[in-house]
Amino acid sequence: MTNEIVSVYSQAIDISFKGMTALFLFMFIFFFLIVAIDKLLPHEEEPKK
Amino acid sequence: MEGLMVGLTSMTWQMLVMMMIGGTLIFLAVKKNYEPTLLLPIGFGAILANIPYTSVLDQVEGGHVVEGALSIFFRVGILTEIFPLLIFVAIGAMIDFSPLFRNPKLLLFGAAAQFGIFFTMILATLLGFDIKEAASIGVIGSADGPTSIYVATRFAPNLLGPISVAAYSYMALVPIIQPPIIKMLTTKEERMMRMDGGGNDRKISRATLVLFPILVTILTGLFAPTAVALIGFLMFGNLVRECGVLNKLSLAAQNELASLVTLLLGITIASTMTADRFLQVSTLFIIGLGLIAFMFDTAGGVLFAKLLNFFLKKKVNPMIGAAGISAFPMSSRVIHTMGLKEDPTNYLLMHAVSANVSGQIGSVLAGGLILALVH
Repeated sequence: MTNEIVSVYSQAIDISFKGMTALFLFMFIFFFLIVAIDKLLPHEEEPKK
Repeated sequence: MEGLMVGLTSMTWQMLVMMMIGGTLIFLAVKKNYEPTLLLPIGFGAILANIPYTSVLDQVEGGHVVEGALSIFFRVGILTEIFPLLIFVAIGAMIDFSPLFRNPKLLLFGAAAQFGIFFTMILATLLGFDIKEAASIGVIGSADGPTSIYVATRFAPNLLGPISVAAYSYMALVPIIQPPIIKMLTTKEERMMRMDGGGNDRKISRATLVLFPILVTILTGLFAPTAVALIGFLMFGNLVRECGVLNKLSLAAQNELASLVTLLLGITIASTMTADRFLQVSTLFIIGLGLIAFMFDTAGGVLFAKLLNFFLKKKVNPMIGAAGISAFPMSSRVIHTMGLKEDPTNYLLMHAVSANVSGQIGSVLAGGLILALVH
Protein backbone atom coordinates (compact mmCIF):
# COMPACT_ATOMS: atom_id res chain seq x y z
CA MET A 1 0.00 0.00 0.00
CA THR A 2 1.37 3.39 -0.96
CA ASN A 3 1.59 6.27 1.50
CA GLU A 4 -1.08 8.10 -0.47
CA ILE A 5 -3.59 5.26 -0.10
CA VAL A 6 -2.84 5.01 3.63
CA SER A 7 -3.40 8.74 4.02
CA VAL A 8 -6.73 8.68 2.12
CA TYR A 9 -7.76 5.57 4.08
CA SER A 10 -7.12 7.30 7.42
CA GLN A 11 -9.07 10.32 6.18
CA ALA A 12 -11.98 8.02 5.25
CA ILE A 13 -11.99 6.41 8.70
CA ASP A 14 -11.99 9.83 10.34
CA ILE A 15 -14.88 11.02 8.12
CA SER A 16 -16.82 7.80 8.77
CA PHE A 17 -16.52 8.18 12.52
CA LYS A 18 -17.60 11.82 12.41
CA GLY A 19 -20.35 11.08 9.87
CA MET A 20 -21.96 8.23 11.83
CA THR A 21 -21.72 10.21 15.08
CA ALA A 22 -23.30 13.27 13.47
CA LEU A 23 -26.05 11.12 11.92
CA PHE A 24 -26.99 9.66 15.31
CA LEU A 25 -26.85 13.11 16.92
CA PHE A 26 -29.19 14.53 14.30
CA MET A 27 -31.57 11.61 14.74
CA PHE A 28 -31.56 12.13 18.51
CA ILE A 29 -32.35 15.81 17.97
CA PHE A 30 -35.17 14.93 15.57
CA PHE A 31 -36.45 12.34 18.07
CA PHE A 32 -36.74 14.97 20.81
CA LEU A 33 -38.20 17.43 18.29
CA ILE A 34 -40.93 14.96 17.35
CA VAL A 35 -41.70 14.11 20.98
CA ALA A 36 -41.81 17.82 21.88
CA ILE A 37 -44.02 19.10 19.07
CA ASP A 38 -46.29 16.08 19.33
CA LYS A 39 -46.76 16.83 23.04
CA LEU A 40 -47.23 20.56 22.51
CA LEU A 41 -49.60 20.19 19.57
CA PRO A 42 -51.57 16.97 20.05
CA HIS A 43 -54.32 16.02 17.63
CA GLU A 44 -57.69 17.28 18.77
CA GLU A 45 -60.93 15.97 17.32
CA GLU A 46 -62.96 18.78 15.76
CA PRO A 47 -66.18 19.32 17.69
CA LYS A 48 -69.17 17.86 15.89
CA LYS A 49 -71.50 20.55 14.55
CA MET B 1 -22.43 8.31 -50.08
CA GLU B 2 -19.22 8.26 -48.06
CA GLY B 3 -20.77 10.77 -45.65
CA LEU B 4 -23.63 8.39 -44.92
CA MET B 5 -21.22 5.58 -44.07
CA VAL B 6 -19.19 7.60 -41.56
CA GLY B 7 -21.29 6.41 -38.61
CA LEU B 8 -21.02 2.78 -39.58
CA THR B 9 -17.30 2.91 -40.29
CA SER B 10 -16.58 4.75 -37.02
CA MET B 11 -18.39 2.20 -34.90
CA THR B 12 -16.11 0.49 -32.39
CA TRP B 13 -16.68 -2.73 -30.41
CA GLN B 14 -16.73 -0.65 -27.23
CA MET B 15 -19.67 1.34 -28.56
CA LEU B 16 -21.43 -1.92 -29.40
CA VAL B 17 -20.85 -3.20 -25.86
CA MET B 18 -22.33 0.04 -24.47
CA MET B 19 -25.38 -0.36 -26.71
CA MET B 20 -25.79 -3.89 -25.38
CA ILE B 21 -25.55 -2.55 -21.82
CA GLY B 22 -28.23 -0.01 -22.74
CA GLY B 23 -30.34 -2.82 -24.18
CA THR B 24 -29.87 -4.84 -20.99
CA LEU B 25 -31.07 -1.92 -18.86
CA ILE B 26 -34.14 -1.55 -21.09
CA PHE B 27 -34.75 -5.31 -20.79
CA LEU B 28 -34.52 -5.14 -16.98
CA ALA B 29 -36.90 -2.18 -16.94
CA VAL B 30 -39.47 -3.63 -19.33
CA LYS B 31 -39.32 -7.34 -18.64
CA LYS B 32 -38.34 -7.42 -14.95
CA ASN B 33 -39.93 -4.09 -13.95
CA TYR B 34 -36.68 -3.04 -12.18
CA GLU B 35 -36.95 0.73 -11.54
CA PRO B 36 -38.36 1.24 -15.07
CA THR B 37 -38.84 4.99 -14.66
CA LEU B 38 -35.09 5.40 -14.47
CA LEU B 39 -33.47 2.36 -16.01
CA LEU B 40 -35.40 2.69 -19.26
CA PRO B 41 -34.32 6.30 -19.95
CA ILE B 42 -30.75 5.46 -18.88
CA GLY B 43 -30.74 2.43 -21.16
CA PHE B 44 -32.04 4.32 -24.17
CA GLY B 45 -29.76 7.26 -23.40
CA ALA B 46 -26.77 4.89 -23.36
CA ILE B 47 -27.69 3.79 -26.88
CA LEU B 48 -28.11 7.41 -28.02
CA ALA B 49 -24.78 8.45 -26.52
CA ASN B 50 -22.82 5.65 -28.17
CA ILE B 51 -23.83 6.18 -31.77
CA PRO B 52 -20.74 7.54 -33.54
CA TYR B 53 -20.90 11.32 -33.97
CA THR B 54 -24.25 11.35 -32.20
CA SER B 55 -25.95 14.72 -32.36
CA VAL B 56 -27.29 14.36 -28.80
CA LEU B 57 -23.78 15.12 -27.50
CA ASP B 58 -21.55 18.10 -28.28
CA GLN B 59 -19.56 17.54 -31.48
CA VAL B 60 -16.86 19.56 -33.14
CA GLU B 61 -17.74 20.38 -36.74
CA GLY B 62 -15.45 22.54 -38.84
CA GLY B 63 -13.68 23.83 -35.75
CA HIS B 64 -16.96 24.84 -34.06
CA VAL B 65 -18.68 23.08 -31.20
CA VAL B 66 -22.21 22.06 -32.12
CA GLU B 67 -24.15 21.61 -28.90
CA GLY B 68 -26.04 18.36 -28.38
CA ALA B 69 -29.38 18.18 -26.57
CA LEU B 70 -28.20 15.79 -23.85
CA SER B 71 -25.03 17.80 -23.28
CA ILE B 72 -27.20 20.90 -22.79
CA PHE B 73 -29.47 19.01 -20.38
CA PHE B 74 -26.37 17.82 -18.50
CA ARG B 75 -24.99 21.32 -18.07
CA VAL B 76 -28.35 22.85 -17.18
CA GLY B 77 -29.90 20.07 -15.13
CA ILE B 78 -27.13 17.99 -13.59
CA LEU B 79 -24.10 20.23 -13.18
CA THR B 80 -26.33 22.90 -11.64
CA GLU B 81 -27.92 20.15 -9.45
CA ILE B 82 -31.40 21.32 -10.48
CA PHE B 83 -32.73 17.89 -11.58
CA PRO B 84 -31.84 16.00 -8.38
CA LEU B 85 -33.17 18.85 -6.24
CA LEU B 86 -36.49 18.88 -8.12
CA ILE B 87 -36.70 15.13 -7.54
CA PHE B 88 -36.29 15.80 -3.83
CA VAL B 89 -39.33 18.12 -3.93
CA ALA B 90 -41.30 15.28 -5.55
CA ILE B 91 -40.06 12.70 -3.04
CA GLY B 92 -40.82 15.04 -0.14
CA ALA B 93 -44.37 15.37 -1.42
CA MET B 94 -44.67 11.57 -1.41
CA ILE B 95 -43.44 11.01 2.15
CA ASP B 96 -45.91 10.65 4.98
CA PHE B 97 -44.03 11.20 8.24
CA SER B 98 -46.97 10.28 10.48
CA PRO B 99 -45.86 6.63 11.01
CA LEU B 100 -42.60 8.03 12.36
CA PHE B 101 -44.47 10.31 14.79
CA ARG B 102 -46.25 7.27 16.17
CA ASN B 103 -42.97 5.50 16.88
CA PRO B 104 -40.16 8.08 16.90
CA LYS B 105 -37.51 5.82 18.45
CA LEU B 106 -37.34 4.04 15.09
CA LEU B 107 -35.63 7.21 13.79
CA LEU B 108 -32.38 5.74 15.06
CA PHE B 109 -32.52 3.01 12.45
CA GLY B 110 -32.41 5.70 9.79
CA ALA B 111 -28.92 6.46 11.09
CA ALA B 112 -27.74 2.89 11.77
CA ALA B 113 -28.68 1.65 8.31
CA GLN B 114 -26.41 4.22 6.65
CA PHE B 115 -23.40 2.28 7.95
CA GLY B 116 -22.84 0.77 4.50
CA ILE B 117 -22.10 4.23 3.08
CA PHE B 118 -19.13 4.79 5.35
CA PHE B 119 -17.90 1.20 5.30
CA THR B 120 -17.88 1.26 1.50
CA MET B 121 -16.17 4.62 1.40
CA ILE B 122 -13.33 3.18 3.48
CA LEU B 123 -13.16 0.11 1.24
CA ALA B 124 -13.09 2.26 -1.91
CA THR B 125 -10.06 4.18 -0.65
CA LEU B 126 -8.21 0.85 -0.34
CA LEU B 127 -8.93 0.22 -4.02
CA GLY B 128 -7.16 3.44 -4.94
CA PHE B 129 -10.09 5.86 -5.34
CA ASP B 130 -9.45 9.35 -4.01
CA ILE B 131 -11.50 10.53 -1.05
CA LYS B 132 -14.13 12.37 -3.12
CA GLU B 133 -14.62 9.45 -5.50
CA ALA B 134 -14.73 7.02 -2.56
CA ALA B 135 -17.36 9.16 -0.81
CA SER B 136 -19.49 9.30 -3.97
CA ILE B 137 -19.27 5.52 -4.35
CA GLY B 138 -20.15 5.03 -0.68
CA VAL B 139 -23.29 7.14 -1.09
CA ILE B 140 -24.69 4.41 -3.38
CA GLY B 141 -25.42 2.83 0.02
CA SER B 142 -27.85 5.62 0.81
CA ALA B 143 -30.23 3.54 -1.34
CA ASP B 144 -31.39 6.90 -2.60
CA GLY B 145 -30.77 7.61 -6.29
CA PRO B 146 -31.09 11.41 -6.23
CA THR B 147 -28.71 11.69 -3.24
CA SER B 148 -26.16 9.49 -5.03
CA ILE B 149 -26.45 11.64 -8.15
CA TYR B 150 -26.26 14.88 -6.16
CA VAL B 151 -23.08 13.88 -4.31
CA ALA B 152 -21.46 12.36 -7.41
CA THR B 153 -22.17 15.53 -9.40
CA ARG B 154 -20.28 17.54 -6.81
CA PHE B 155 -17.46 15.13 -6.08
CA ALA B 156 -16.97 12.75 -9.00
CA PRO B 157 -18.84 13.78 -12.17
CA ASN B 158 -16.59 11.36 -14.08
CA LEU B 159 -18.21 8.45 -12.19
CA LEU B 160 -21.80 9.68 -12.45
CA GLY B 161 -22.87 7.05 -15.00
CA PRO B 162 -21.79 3.89 -13.15
CA ILE B 163 -22.82 5.31 -9.76
CA SER B 164 -26.34 6.08 -10.99
CA VAL B 165 -26.73 2.71 -12.68
CA ALA B 166 -25.50 0.89 -9.55
CA ALA B 167 -27.68 2.97 -7.20
CA TYR B 168 -30.90 2.41 -9.11
CA SER B 169 -30.19 -1.23 -9.97
CA TYR B 170 -29.55 -2.20 -6.36
CA MET B 171 -32.60 -0.24 -5.18
CA ALA B 172 -34.65 -2.48 -7.44
CA LEU B 173 -32.82 -5.54 -6.08
CA VAL B 174 -33.56 -4.81 -2.39
CA PRO B 175 -35.96 -7.81 -2.19
CA ILE B 176 -33.09 -10.06 -3.31
CA ILE B 177 -30.21 -8.40 -1.40
CA GLN B 178 -31.75 -7.94 2.05
CA PRO B 179 -33.37 -11.30 3.03
CA PRO B 180 -30.19 -13.46 3.05
CA ILE B 181 -28.27 -10.87 5.11
CA ILE B 182 -31.14 -10.57 7.60
CA LYS B 183 -31.46 -14.36 7.89
CA MET B 184 -27.73 -14.70 8.42
CA LEU B 185 -27.75 -12.22 11.30
CA THR B 186 -30.96 -13.24 13.10
CA THR B 187 -32.39 -16.35 14.69
CA LYS B 188 -35.87 -17.67 13.89
CA GLU B 189 -37.04 -16.54 17.35
CA GLU B 190 -35.79 -13.02 16.66
CA ARG B 191 -37.55 -12.92 13.30
CA MET B 192 -40.78 -14.05 14.98
CA MET B 193 -40.54 -11.36 17.65
CA ARG B 194 -43.75 -9.36 17.98
CA MET B 195 -43.86 -5.63 18.51
CA ASP B 196 -46.65 -3.74 20.24
CA GLY B 197 -48.87 -1.46 18.21
CA GLY B 198 -46.98 1.70 19.25
CA GLY B 199 -50.15 3.75 18.76
CA ASN B 200 -50.36 2.80 15.12
CA ASP B 201 -53.77 4.36 14.66
CA ARG B 202 -53.10 7.51 16.70
CA LYS B 203 -53.85 10.68 14.76
CA ILE B 204 -51.20 13.36 14.38
CA SER B 205 -52.18 17.03 14.34
CA ARG B 206 -51.70 18.99 11.14
CA ALA B 207 -49.72 21.66 13.04
CA THR B 208 -47.19 18.97 13.98
CA LEU B 209 -46.91 17.71 10.42
CA VAL B 210 -46.47 21.27 9.11
CA LEU B 211 -43.95 22.32 11.74
CA PHE B 212 -41.77 19.21 11.39
CA PRO B 213 -40.34 19.88 7.89
CA ILE B 214 -39.71 23.53 8.74
CA LEU B 215 -37.92 22.80 12.01
CA VAL B 216 -35.89 19.93 10.54
CA THR B 217 -34.68 22.25 7.76
CA ILE B 218 -33.71 24.99 10.20
CA LEU B 219 -31.98 22.60 12.62
CA THR B 220 -30.06 20.82 9.87
CA GLY B 221 -29.10 24.14 8.33
CA LEU B 222 -27.75 25.49 11.61
CA PHE B 223 -25.42 22.54 12.10
CA ALA B 224 -24.67 21.46 8.52
CA PRO B 225 -25.36 24.31 6.07
CA THR B 226 -24.04 22.26 3.14
CA ALA B 227 -26.88 19.79 3.67
CA VAL B 228 -29.57 22.47 3.41
CA ALA B 229 -30.17 22.13 -0.32
CA LEU B 230 -30.71 18.38 0.00
CA ILE B 231 -32.83 18.32 3.14
CA GLY B 232 -34.47 21.69 2.40
CA PHE B 233 -35.92 20.66 -0.96
CA LEU B 234 -37.08 17.33 0.48
CA MET B 235 -38.79 19.09 3.37
CA PHE B 236 -40.24 21.75 1.07
CA GLY B 237 -41.97 19.01 -0.90
CA ASN B 238 -43.25 17.56 2.35
CA LEU B 239 -44.51 20.95 3.49
CA VAL B 240 -46.45 21.33 0.24
CA ARG B 241 -48.03 17.93 0.98
CA GLU B 242 -48.87 18.57 4.62
CA CYS B 243 -49.96 22.21 4.56
CA GLY B 244 -53.39 21.14 3.37
CA VAL B 245 -53.93 24.13 1.08
CA LEU B 246 -51.79 23.08 -1.89
CA ASN B 247 -53.31 19.73 -2.73
CA LYS B 248 -53.11 20.30 -6.49
CA LEU B 249 -49.45 21.28 -6.25
CA SER B 250 -48.74 18.34 -3.99
CA LEU B 251 -50.31 15.93 -6.47
CA ALA B 252 -48.48 17.61 -9.34
CA ALA B 253 -45.18 17.23 -7.48
CA GLN B 254 -45.88 13.57 -6.72
CA ASN B 255 -46.92 12.73 -10.26
CA GLU B 256 -46.08 15.09 -13.14
CA LEU B 257 -42.97 16.67 -11.62
CA ALA B 258 -41.61 13.32 -10.43
CA SER B 259 -42.24 11.64 -13.78
CA LEU B 260 -40.91 14.44 -15.96
CA VAL B 261 -37.75 15.11 -13.98
CA THR B 262 -37.01 11.39 -13.55
CA LEU B 263 -37.28 10.99 -17.31
CA LEU B 264 -34.92 13.89 -17.98
CA LEU B 265 -32.57 12.83 -15.19
CA GLY B 266 -32.28 9.31 -16.55
CA ILE B 267 -31.65 10.16 -20.16
CA THR B 268 -29.26 12.96 -19.22
CA ILE B 269 -27.18 10.79 -16.91
CA ALA B 270 -26.84 8.35 -19.78
CA SER B 271 -25.01 11.04 -21.73
CA THR B 272 -22.04 10.32 -19.45
CA MET B 273 -22.14 6.64 -20.35
CA THR B 274 -19.97 6.83 -23.42
CA ALA B 275 -17.74 3.81 -24.05
CA ASP B 276 -14.49 5.63 -23.27
CA ARG B 277 -15.79 6.68 -19.85
CA PHE B 278 -17.89 3.67 -18.86
CA LEU B 279 -15.84 0.70 -19.99
CA GLN B 280 -13.23 0.99 -17.28
CA VAL B 281 -12.11 -1.34 -14.50
CA SER B 282 -13.35 1.32 -12.07
CA THR B 283 -16.93 0.69 -13.28
CA LEU B 284 -16.68 -2.95 -12.17
CA PHE B 285 -15.32 -1.82 -8.79
CA ILE B 286 -18.21 0.63 -8.43
CA ILE B 287 -20.82 -2.03 -9.26
CA GLY B 288 -19.23 -4.39 -6.69
CA LEU B 289 -18.82 -1.72 -4.02
CA GLY B 290 -22.43 -0.61 -4.48
CA LEU B 291 -23.60 -4.11 -3.64
CA ILE B 292 -21.35 -4.18 -0.56
CA ALA B 293 -22.81 -0.84 0.53
CA PHE B 294 -26.37 -2.22 0.41
CA MET B 295 -25.33 -5.38 2.26
CA PHE B 296 -23.61 -3.48 5.06
CA ASP B 297 -26.52 -1.03 5.36
CA THR B 298 -28.76 -4.00 6.05
CA ALA B 299 -26.28 -5.53 8.48
CA GLY B 300 -25.80 -2.18 10.26
CA GLY B 301 -29.54 -1.80 10.80
CA VAL B 302 -30.08 -5.36 12.05
CA LEU B 303 -27.07 -5.36 14.38
CA PHE B 304 -28.02 -1.97 15.81
CA ALA B 305 -31.53 -3.27 16.55
CA LYS B 306 -30.00 -6.23 18.38
CA LEU B 307 -27.77 -3.88 20.36
CA LEU B 308 -30.70 -1.62 21.18
CA ASN B 309 -32.65 -4.60 22.52
CA PHE B 310 -30.15 -4.92 25.38
CA PHE B 311 -31.42 -1.58 26.68
CA LEU B 312 -35.09 -1.61 25.70
CA LYS B 313 -37.95 -2.98 27.80
CA LYS B 314 -40.17 -3.37 24.75
CA LYS B 315 -37.93 -5.21 22.32
CA VAL B 316 -37.69 -4.40 18.64
CA ASN B 317 -37.81 -7.12 16.00
CA PRO B 318 -34.21 -6.89 14.66
CA MET B 319 -35.47 -7.19 11.09
CA ILE B 320 -36.98 -3.71 11.48
CA GLY B 321 -33.43 -2.31 11.59
CA ALA B 322 -32.89 -3.38 8.00
CA ALA B 323 -35.81 -1.17 6.93
CA GLY B 324 -33.78 1.88 7.97
CA ILE B 325 -32.54 2.28 4.40
CA SER B 326 -34.11 4.77 2.06
CA ALA B 327 -35.54 2.36 -0.54
CA PHE B 328 -39.22 3.05 0.12
CA PRO B 329 -41.50 1.13 0.27
CA MET B 330 -39.54 -1.92 -0.98
CA SER B 331 -37.58 -2.41 2.20
CA SER B 332 -40.58 -2.23 4.54
CA ARG B 333 -42.45 -4.68 2.30
CA VAL B 334 -39.50 -7.08 2.41
CA ILE B 335 -39.42 -7.00 6.22
CA HIS B 336 -43.19 -7.37 6.49
CA THR B 337 -43.16 -10.37 4.13
CA MET B 338 -40.27 -12.00 6.00
CA GLY B 339 -42.14 -11.54 9.28
CA LEU B 340 -45.28 -13.11 7.83
CA LYS B 341 -43.28 -16.07 6.54
CA GLU B 342 -42.08 -16.85 10.07
CA ASP B 343 -45.44 -16.17 11.69
CA PRO B 344 -48.49 -15.45 9.49
CA THR B 345 -50.12 -13.44 12.30
CA ASN B 346 -47.18 -11.11 12.96
CA TYR B 347 -47.81 -7.79 11.18
CA LEU B 348 -44.64 -5.70 11.12
CA LEU B 349 -45.59 -3.41 8.25
CA MET B 350 -46.29 -0.19 10.16
CA HIS B 351 -43.10 -0.49 12.23
CA ALA B 352 -41.09 -1.24 9.10
CA VAL B 353 -42.66 1.76 7.35
CA SER B 354 -41.63 4.01 10.27
CA ALA B 355 -38.03 2.80 10.03
CA ASN B 356 -38.14 3.11 6.25
CA VAL B 357 -39.35 6.73 6.44
CA SER B 358 -36.56 7.50 8.91
CA GLY B 359 -34.19 5.97 6.35
CA GLN B 360 -35.37 8.55 3.85
CA ILE B 361 -34.35 11.32 6.23
CA GLY B 362 -31.16 9.47 7.18
CA SER B 363 -29.98 8.97 3.61
CA VAL B 364 -30.40 12.62 2.64
CA LEU B 365 -28.74 13.68 5.87
CA ALA B 366 -25.85 11.27 5.26
CA GLY B 367 -25.39 12.76 1.78
CA GLY B 368 -25.35 16.25 3.27
CA LEU B 369 -22.88 15.25 5.97
CA ILE B 370 -20.57 13.69 3.39
CA LEU B 371 -20.64 16.98 1.48
CA ALA B 372 -19.80 18.82 4.69
CA LEU B 373 -17.05 16.49 5.90
CA VAL B 374 -15.18 15.59 2.70
CA HIS B 375 -12.76 18.22 1.48
